[in-house]
Amino acid sequence: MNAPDYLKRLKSGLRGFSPKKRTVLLEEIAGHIEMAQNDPGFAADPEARSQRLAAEMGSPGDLSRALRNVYRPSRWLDFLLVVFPTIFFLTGALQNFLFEYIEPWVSRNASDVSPVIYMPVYIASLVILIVVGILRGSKSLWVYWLSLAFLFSLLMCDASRFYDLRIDNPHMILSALIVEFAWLPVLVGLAVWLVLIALHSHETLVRVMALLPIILTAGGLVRVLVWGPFGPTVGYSGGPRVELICSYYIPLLLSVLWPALFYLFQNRLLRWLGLLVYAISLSAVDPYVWVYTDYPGLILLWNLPLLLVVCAWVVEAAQGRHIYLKPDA
Amino acid sequence: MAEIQQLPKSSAPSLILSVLAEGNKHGYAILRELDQRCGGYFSLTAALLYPALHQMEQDRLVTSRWEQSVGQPRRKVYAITPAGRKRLNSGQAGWRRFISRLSKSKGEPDDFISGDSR
Repeated sequence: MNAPDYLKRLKSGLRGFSPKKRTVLLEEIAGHIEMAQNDPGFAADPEARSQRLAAEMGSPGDLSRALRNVYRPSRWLDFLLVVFPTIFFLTGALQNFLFEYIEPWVSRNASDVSPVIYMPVYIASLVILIVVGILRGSKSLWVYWLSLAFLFSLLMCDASRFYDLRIDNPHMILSALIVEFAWLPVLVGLAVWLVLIALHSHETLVRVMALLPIILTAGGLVRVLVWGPFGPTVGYSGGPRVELICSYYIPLLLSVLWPALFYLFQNRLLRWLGLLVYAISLSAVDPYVWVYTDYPGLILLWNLPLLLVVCAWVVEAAQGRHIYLKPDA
Repeated sequence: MAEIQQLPKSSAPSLILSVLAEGNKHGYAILRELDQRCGGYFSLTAALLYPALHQMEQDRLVTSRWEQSVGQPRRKVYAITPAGRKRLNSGQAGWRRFISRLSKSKGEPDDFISGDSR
């Protein structure tokens, strides 16, 4: 293997690093090879020089693997990235499902006690996940968890909002207004985030990931503009259990577990799959799924994230073009 | 019996630190210095050297900076830090103790390793 081949294979092995980091690493190794080629004391003749250099450099695969191990985030952080979203999800799921079983012994008012049990776990899980994102050096990760914390704090303004969004319920008007008009500042915040990512990242995966929430939020704004502040929404109001699972638990599970797929793996296919899971969690958000049939425009609006991921994935596969950033970018 | 020429991965940092203790060097110069010291007996590949250097930089045992000479491509030069010197000293003492105990357990004389620092 000659020097250009070695460097080409090394470059390929360093995918997942930022272009800047990869360039610097390649420059250092290329410098080593160049010095060996120009050092008269390195070997007596070109044949011996070539053999000694090959032995000294070792395999480009070994070198790239060892370098990836140096720069990979701590496995403890990876562990937390799986465990705490799971705790977050299970707390939400159990507090609803367990209630059914304790109801015979506890009055219905016991639901007032429920937030006391699950809220500390929610808050602790989200704080830990934000810290994990910061420790991994991943802005996109901690911004995601921060946005999720913001979303939950909005929804927790009135917990019953989870169950009834109809305008004919006077108790819901204030909290509904807060949530509906929160679209605009959220949209501005997301736009700033998107610009920052566009400026600092050349990684298609990261750019698409940053686009997903802004597309959904823009969709929410369109809905407010077209159908009014409350929109054509029909809340969940004690329907069949299967509807609750499909419209709430599955999207919640997907939305907290997609970062594990996206951030823990360096395999590009799995990272695209992570984005697809993210888009599905956004597209299947309660309560809008139940009005798709009455408002066909919403079908397209709420599936734009899914459409974007699929299109970007197909375009990248067709171009065979991979621009890589460090795994936790 | 086969000779032990392949250096274990764990010994690379102490060897690199011992070279850098004598002055700042880039990766190629570190390998040449090690070659010279052991007469080419031990083999340390680039696949072992550079990851070790980068790990040591993250552990703040060494620092690096790019140096540009006239008419030459720039080179990344490494320097040992005070923490690196401390690690080197403690590592050398520990290594001497290990060799000494190994020699004794094999029934070799006490003075087999000079400078035994028990």
